[in-house]
Amino acid sequence: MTDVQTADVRNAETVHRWLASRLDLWGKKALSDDLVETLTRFCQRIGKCPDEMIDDCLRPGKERDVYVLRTRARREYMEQIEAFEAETGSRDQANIVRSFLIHNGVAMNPNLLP
Amino acid sequence: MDFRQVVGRQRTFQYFLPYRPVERPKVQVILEAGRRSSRAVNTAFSKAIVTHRDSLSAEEREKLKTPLSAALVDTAPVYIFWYHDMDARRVAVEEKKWPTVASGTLVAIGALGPPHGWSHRYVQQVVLPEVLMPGLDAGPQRGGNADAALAMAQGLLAALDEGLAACLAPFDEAGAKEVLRTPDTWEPVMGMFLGYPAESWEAGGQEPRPPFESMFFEQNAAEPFARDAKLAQALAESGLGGRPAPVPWREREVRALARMLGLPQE
Repeated sequence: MTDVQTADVRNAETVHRWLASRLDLWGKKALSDDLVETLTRFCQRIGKCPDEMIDDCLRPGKERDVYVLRTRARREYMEQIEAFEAETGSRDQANIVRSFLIHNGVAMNPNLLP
Repeated sequence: MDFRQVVGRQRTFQYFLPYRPVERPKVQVILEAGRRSSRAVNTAFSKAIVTHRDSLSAEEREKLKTPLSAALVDTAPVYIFWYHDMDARRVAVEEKKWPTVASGTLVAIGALGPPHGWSHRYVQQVVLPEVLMPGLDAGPQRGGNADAALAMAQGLLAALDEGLAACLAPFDEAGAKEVLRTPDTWEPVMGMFLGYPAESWEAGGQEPRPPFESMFFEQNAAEPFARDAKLAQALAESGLGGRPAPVPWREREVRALARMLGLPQE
């Protein structure tokens, strides 16, 4: 557990993008306080800020606003989220973290089969 | 099903009932339909591997996944991996094993004949050396193959006709090569994920398409094919078409499906 504060998470550019994207797709009902709180707990668990997480997964391409998915980093985050899910016992909470990555351009799903 | 309804049913189905198996005879119907597809010089460019999800280990399933196909791999009970056999032309020409143009069979059975200029001599001394053999020295060439895709397309329609939902999606070539043990000469076309739909048959509605006239032309590329709106309407009413996406309940449907399957809802 490290010193990532809720305010840091709330003010992160990637979090703004995430919330704006959810608002755009689903409206205000897709925004709730537990989103940032849950993401903060995950960030504290792994000791990374939200922007760092996305930087880990997306490498800037040759052109502006073009990114390449780093598959190994994505895989590592998927495993971290699975561990978070096991720890919290909550697929919903883990899916909040997945939603953050998805809306920032890192596609992922939970494993649906044992 | 009526042919128009089969064509009109085509959607990118993305949510399958993970617990409902696909009957083996239906899979065979798909393959039989693919086998009947048109192909140049009667050569079998298309190859396909039927894969049963529940016969794979978790590690093997992981190897097949791409970032966007993970849920398809987990929920569809059957996948058919369609390939282009890049070696098919060489085999047809050199081994003359199958009833192809190169083997002379198509002329012999009268499928190709003198009215169109075909003869044994034309095949053996003109078509083979001038058309089919050039380039073989360079070895298998990637770049896709229309005939391999045609077989898959015919299989896709057969799947819909059998009452199955299907989604075509790319798959991890290297991972599939390990799991499926494909030859080096097989180039992926697409993975066909099959099952019974967890979503409605409308699957969100008919996806938008560019205007008809921007895709189809008459006599020359500058002259759009004039579309008869009444005919288009009649076709839509007969099943070739459907309600445009999004259907009013799509958002709630997606949320419900995500909740049922344990996927991120938003």
